[in-house]
Amino acid sequence: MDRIKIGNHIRRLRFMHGEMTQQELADETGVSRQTINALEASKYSPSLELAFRIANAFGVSVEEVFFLEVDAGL
Amino acid sequence: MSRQEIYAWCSMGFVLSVLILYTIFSFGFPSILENHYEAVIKGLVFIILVAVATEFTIDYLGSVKYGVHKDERDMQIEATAFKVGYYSVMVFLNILIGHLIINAFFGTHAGEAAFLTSRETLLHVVIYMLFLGGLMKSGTQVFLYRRGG
Repeated sequence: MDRIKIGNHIRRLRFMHGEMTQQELADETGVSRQTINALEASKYSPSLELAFRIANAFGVSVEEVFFLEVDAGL
Repeated sequence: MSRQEIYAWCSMGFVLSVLILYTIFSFGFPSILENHYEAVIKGLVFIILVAVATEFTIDYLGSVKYGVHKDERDMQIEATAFKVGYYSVMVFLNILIGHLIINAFFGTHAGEAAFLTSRETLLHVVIYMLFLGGLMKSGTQVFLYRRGG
């Protein structure tokens, strides 16, 4: 069975936004720096609300931040 | 380390220390460590005091809304850990009830089995069950935080 993971471009978007730090993004979205770190490493899938808040912080749409990764190996 | 991860570590240290102290006061100190009695007790009490002070500090910071107290990932991890703790207690409880039912129906043949159904032992088992449930909960939290998800 294919396993679906949610990937993201948060790291790239942070650097494109004046090398924003994880802490700055965390402060802007109201979560801890550790949560941003877990998101970037694709170890945690955010709620829809957090996904929108992150997209808003970068001024882009949700699809430009998050995408589906299908792991066919499972 | 996020605040809730520190809280989970403190909670685990607290429960483990109380569990060890309870075991020592209920069943005696192991003779192999007799020379270190004072150091062990002091160490355990120190862990309990540090854990309680840290938990109070974290709760205080949360109550004055300083920084991020608990976000959605913390809540998700806490929910999973609660589930694991609850299931652990239920498994222990079912084993205990099964054991009591089997004893009630078939009686006890050995002294050891009779010991397991004494009121005093049952009280210890129930208390251990609750401690282990708490330990499973905080242990799961620490595991999930360390794993990253």
